[in-house]
Amino acid sequence: MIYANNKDLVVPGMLLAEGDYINEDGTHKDKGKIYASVVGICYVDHRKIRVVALEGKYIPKSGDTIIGVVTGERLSGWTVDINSPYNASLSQRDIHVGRFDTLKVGDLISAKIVKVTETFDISLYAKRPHGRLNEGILVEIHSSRVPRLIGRRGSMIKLIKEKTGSIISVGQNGLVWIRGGNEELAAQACQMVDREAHIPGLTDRVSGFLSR
Amino acid sequence: MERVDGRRFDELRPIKIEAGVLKRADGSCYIEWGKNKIYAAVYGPKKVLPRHLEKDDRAILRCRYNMAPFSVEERKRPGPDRRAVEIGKVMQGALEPAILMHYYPKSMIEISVEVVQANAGTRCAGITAVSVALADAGIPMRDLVPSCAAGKVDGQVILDLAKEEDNSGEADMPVAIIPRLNQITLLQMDGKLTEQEVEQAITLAMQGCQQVYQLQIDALRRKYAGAEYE
Amino acid sequence: MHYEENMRVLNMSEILPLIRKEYLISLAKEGKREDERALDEYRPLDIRVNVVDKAEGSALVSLGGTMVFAGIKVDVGEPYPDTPEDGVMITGAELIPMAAPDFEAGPPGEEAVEVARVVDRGIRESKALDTKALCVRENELVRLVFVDLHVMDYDGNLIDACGVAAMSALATCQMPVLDENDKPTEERLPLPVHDLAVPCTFVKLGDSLLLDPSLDEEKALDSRITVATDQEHHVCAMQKSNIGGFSLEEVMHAVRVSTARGEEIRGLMKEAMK
Repeated sequence: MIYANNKDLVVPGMLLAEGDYINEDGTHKDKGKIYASVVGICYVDHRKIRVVALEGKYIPKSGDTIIGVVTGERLSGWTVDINSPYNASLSQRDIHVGRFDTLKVGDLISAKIVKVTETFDISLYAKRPHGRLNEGILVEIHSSRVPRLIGRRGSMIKLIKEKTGSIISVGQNGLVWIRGGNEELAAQACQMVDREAHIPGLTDRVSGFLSR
Repeated sequence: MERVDGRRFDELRPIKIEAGVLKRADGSCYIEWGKNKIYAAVYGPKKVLPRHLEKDDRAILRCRYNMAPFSVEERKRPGPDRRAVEIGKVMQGALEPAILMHYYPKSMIEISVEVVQANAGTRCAGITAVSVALADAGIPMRDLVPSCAAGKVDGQVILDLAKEEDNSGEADMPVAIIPRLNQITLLQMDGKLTEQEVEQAITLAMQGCQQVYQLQIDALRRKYAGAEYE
Repeated sequence: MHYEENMRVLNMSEILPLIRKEYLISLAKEGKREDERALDEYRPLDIRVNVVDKAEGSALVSLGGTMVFAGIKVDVGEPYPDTPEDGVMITGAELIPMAAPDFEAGPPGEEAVEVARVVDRGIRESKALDTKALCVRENELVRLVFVDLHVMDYDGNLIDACGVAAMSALATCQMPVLDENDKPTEERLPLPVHDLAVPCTFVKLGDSLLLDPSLDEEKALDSRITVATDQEHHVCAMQKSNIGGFSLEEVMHAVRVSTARGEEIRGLMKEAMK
């Protein structure tokens, strides 16, 4: 028995389905019934049910590319704030190229999460030398809205890059780094996606905004 | 029986709930409940400080209840008193069972309630607002937690005592529930009630909670009205 | 006004990424700001008075995303021995944990004390509050005016938001008239307020002075200066804060801008108090 419709707005505690359904993200199962855990949009796909959250902190996943801020130096590496409930660590070993002495507190880096343990010890790998991002501007959006900024097969971010001529790096943790081209316009477009992510017709509005 | 403000025995004061009212907090809520004016904020899940409070298998919840110095008749000295500390503790007990704490091991969820105008029933209004603020912060929960008091005035069991009723009343009993689990997670009482009146009062308060629950859902739906992904 | 109210702030850590600081400084050098304000322009200021009926005077002020309640309670007590004919104003500020992820519970810290004292000084030295008129009996009994500032949301520039809130609440405060036994009656009388002091705060970023700093402008600051002015355009209080310095020219620039902007803000306050 299914109680929610596809694309319904749901709130925590709302009964979505019971019986032979599989519950995914944003839901929980109790005595055979599936309930929403967060405020979000409910998706029903055959027997699978999930709720895409409208709010919430970034929870680190192995394989994600993130943008972080160096907040501490340690003997063997650095502590990195990745805009989540947990700090990550970047070891000197895991930097691709040498010259270890150049990362400092306050530096912005782009890195890949290589490992998340059960107790959320998080290790990073930085591809470029230190992964350090120099110059440019930094924008924060809701991590839950990152998929909207990237768009279907990268369509949204491609649109913004093309219209602004900027280099844009989107972290799964909601931090966006922009450099070159019309940086301010690109930043405003990202903020527009963040603000209006849940209002239909987004692509057209962003495209209109960038063509103005 | 005639109540001071003309309500029926089972009628709540007017309640207005608004989700997402503060900029810095991860989730927030403003509630006007009768003449009470209360803000609730949620920060987190975030890193645990001090570190020794960290739990390996779950998040921890910290609750703070505070009254502004100008929120009451006599100016209240700033800072927590014993009453505020106790309310913080029972609020935690009321809310934590509804939160999926094991989703975020080694993290902390910080809750604060600020009363800017008090008029009886601040802890119930506070819990109601915090629960909406938790949802607004995107924290996964089993359910929302509505709260409401019942009491006894002039020999009658009634819902949601106003300040004048609380002052002259024989008993006051704040209650919070997790509707979906049918569990009572806040229960306090002061005054005198017979066994039968206790049952009456709890039943009445639980009915009140169901009405508050609907208002919480409406507030969240209002904030995200029209939300849809393409 | 192009100010983008919904702009998100970086809540993640107290460390402002260096590239953000460099970006804000380079913008300021061109006379620009991230939210498209001019360097000497305020964010939207919203003032509402009489918002708490338990307080004898109250105001709720929003300055951009910063939000502050001011509440006034009037009591009676002994005067200070050195000012036996003067009523007493006591100003306190609480930076409660609700307002920012790094505000801690507990007794007011340095920051909160400085906010309260700078706000207090502006009002006190402008003689906005006629303390002589608050004397009940010389040497014995005077009115005590408690000004409590409750910061609900911190998005930069607490001093100005608190100053406007405190002044608006005082100017609309109705204190109880005392009976022959010095007990408060139901009758009300306005507080003797004869001026409207307004603080204006600037931060120095690189070589530029920015009025009404946003949160990140404040985090990136080298130093800060506040100038409070009264309606006669006298300067009634100043405070230089944080590490870093100002030239005489910079200070005088701050004074001139404060006088002009102070007048505009006074206009908004009067509008709100109608």
